[in-house]
This record gives sequence, structure tokens and C-alpha cells, in this order.
Amino acid sequence: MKKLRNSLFLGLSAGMIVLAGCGGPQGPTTSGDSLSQGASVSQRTKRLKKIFRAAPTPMETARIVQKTGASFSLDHLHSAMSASNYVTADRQAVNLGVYGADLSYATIFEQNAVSLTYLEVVKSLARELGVGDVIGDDMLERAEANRARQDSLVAIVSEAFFNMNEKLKSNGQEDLSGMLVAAGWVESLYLATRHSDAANEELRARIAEQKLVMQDVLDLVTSYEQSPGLKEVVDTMQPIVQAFEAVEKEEANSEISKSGGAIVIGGGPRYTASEEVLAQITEAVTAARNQLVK
Amino acid sequence: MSVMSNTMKHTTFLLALVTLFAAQANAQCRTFTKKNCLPVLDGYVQNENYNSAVLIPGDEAELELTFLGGSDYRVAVCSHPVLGAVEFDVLDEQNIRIWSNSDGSDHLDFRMENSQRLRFRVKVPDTDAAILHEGCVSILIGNKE
Repeated sequence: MKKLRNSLFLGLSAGMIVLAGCGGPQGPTTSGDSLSQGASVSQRTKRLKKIFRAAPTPMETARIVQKTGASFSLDHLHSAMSASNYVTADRQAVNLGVYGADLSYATIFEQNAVSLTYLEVVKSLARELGVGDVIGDDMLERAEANRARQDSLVAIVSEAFFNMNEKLKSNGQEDLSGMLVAAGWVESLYLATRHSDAANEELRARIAEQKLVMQDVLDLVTSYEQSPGLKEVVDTMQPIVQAFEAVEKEEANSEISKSGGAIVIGGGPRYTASEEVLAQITEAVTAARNQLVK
Repeated sequence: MSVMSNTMKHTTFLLALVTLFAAQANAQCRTFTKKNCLPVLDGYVQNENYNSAVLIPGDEAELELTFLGGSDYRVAVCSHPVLGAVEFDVLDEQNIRIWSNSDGSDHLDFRMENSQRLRFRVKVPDTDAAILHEGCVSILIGNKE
């Protein structure tokens, strides 16, 4: 009797898997593989609220910094020769973030030969980390064929990092994804502050606004399970967090208008940093970045 | 002792089943997002963050993110048709609703004049149906110069 009950239990459970995989007899009536793949009968009835965490990318930061008139200098990038020094998964993830930010800067500033070199470095580190398949040879060939087209390179780099983050998360390595994002932000801020002693008002404002992005990055990385490696990166960022506390915020309401059919969102809070505060941010970012690339 | 051992075996088996089921649903969601949602960002550079989840009727999802001044953005909310018409709102930092997809649109194009944090709130419509279907919901962000 007991054997029969156990067999029934196993049989029903196996049946559930098959039904779930197929969408079940009550499954959606949509057509096409990808549509039927995105739905099935739910085993859950309790409602939930899913909170997504995200942060602007180094590519976005590089673009707004470039618009301030800042210049590019190869000397400020982390040496491509150092990539082979990183042998643990934690160091590889951190430096994938650093090299990813360098790659984004080089691409936005149209340093195409540098971009291709750093894309190779990123591919090599990604392979070491076990996610090398997201940057296939076909992607490198596409980058080489489009080396003169900045928009194509931007799209290729963004696609590579989207796939890499998604792959790390689906592999259950969210902590490594967090390290990559945090280190990428620190490196992009490091590059933005290289000319802070001669920064114009616009660049100063863009750096001050990074206080918002810092909060996004911290919210994102602290939402993941805190492995020792991720905790170390978050700790490394603390002096930067303290330096940004002195950035002033002036509250203002958002203003919505329309221009040529598109919505324009203006107003909102303004962030400002004095020269002294900017110097403190620069010092804290430099120390944190040097720690990350050790 | 053998009853306890059997119970443990069943519990372990059920846990393994639930894990397998969740992993399969998430893998299907990733495929759905790549094939059906990323094309909505055509003409924009996709943000590197992957924000997708398997939701059921009545569920909500939220994404809060800084949008940088001087950039044009497209935020796409993509959901499996089995979930019906998903509603989404945009709120500013002071929690004031500044836009909603009352026209049924699956995306919002906007230009940010200054950097600020916006919150995207997505709600899957509730249903009285006896059988609940779950489906993939993704919030994707693209930007361009």
C-alpha cells in the first residue's frame, strides 16, 4: 500500500513537471515558440510585489562626461597587460567591471583601436570567469568589421554586458554580477574625475549627480546575497559614500512638457559640489579604484 | 524512523521539483525577453541590466532608477499576452505620478533635462479565473544620444 502511495506521489510529481514544461492543457493559446515559452499554469496563488534593482551603465556616464567637453587619455585606463594577474573569480569579476568601464569610455570617445583591445581583454576575463560564450568570435568579428562606426561598437559592447549580467544571474552568481556593476561604476567615476581640478561647471554638476547613481549601485549590490568578495567591494566604496554626503541637494518639483511628440522631463532636484567636496570625492574614488585593480 | 526517512525523502524531492520548476520558468522568461522584448528597444542602446520576472494576475513590479540629464530614453514594459493588458505608471522622486499608459502603450519615450530618479510601477490586472496563468514581465531600458 505504502509502495503504491509512493509510486502515485512520484508519478503525480513527474506529471506536474511535464505539464509545467509544456504549458499544460490549460496553457496560453498564443502561437510561436517564444510566446508559449513565456507562460504556464501557475502553482502560486499568493500575490507578490517584485522590486527590480538597476543602475545606469558606464556607457551612459561616459556619454554625459564627454558632452561636458572632457578629453580622453589612454594613461587613465587600467593597463590591459594586467588582466592576466587576476586568477580568482572575485578579482576577475571586479576587473571585468573596471575593464568594461574603460571599454565604454574608449568607445564613447571614439578611440576605436583601444576599444577593440579592451574588448579582447573583456572576452579573455569573461572566459576565465566561465561566461566567455556571451562574447563569441562572431561578436569580435562584428566589432572589427564596424570599428569605424561608433554606434555599432556601442551596441555591441552594451549587448555583451547585458548578456554577461544575465548569464551570471542565471548561473546563480549574482554576487559576481554585483561586483562587476560596482567596480564598473567606481572606474567610470574615476575616469570622470581625472580632470576635476580643471573641471567646468557642467562636469562638476555631472559628478555631483553621481550621488544618485551611487545610491542605485548600492541598492542593487546590497540586494544580492553578501558573499565575502561582494562585501569587500561594498566596504571599499564606503569612503566614496562618505565623500558624497557633502554634495548639496536642492529640492524642486519635476516639470513635464512635450517637444515634437516626445515627453520632456525637466525640473527635479539639483545637486552641487564645491571644489573642496569635488577634491574629496576625487581622492576617495582614486583610493577605491586603486584598491580594486590591485 | 522509516516514516521520518520517507517524509524527508518526499520533502527533498518536492523541494527539488519546486527549484527545477522555478529554474525552468526563469529560463523560459529569459528566452521570451530576448525574442519578444528586446526588439521594442529598436533604435536605442539597451541598458545592461536584466529586469524580468514570472508574475501572476494581481502581482506588481517596480523599478527605481536614475535617468541621466541630457539623454533620451525608452522604457519598455513587455509582458506575456496571457497576463492581459499590463498597466504601468511613472512616478517622480516625490511620488507624484507623471505618466501612465492609459493608451495601452508598451513603452514610454522621454528626454531627461536633469538627472533624477524615476520609479516605474507595473501592475498585472487581477482575474476571477479559477486557473491562474503565470507569465513573463520585463522592464527594459534603452537610451540614445
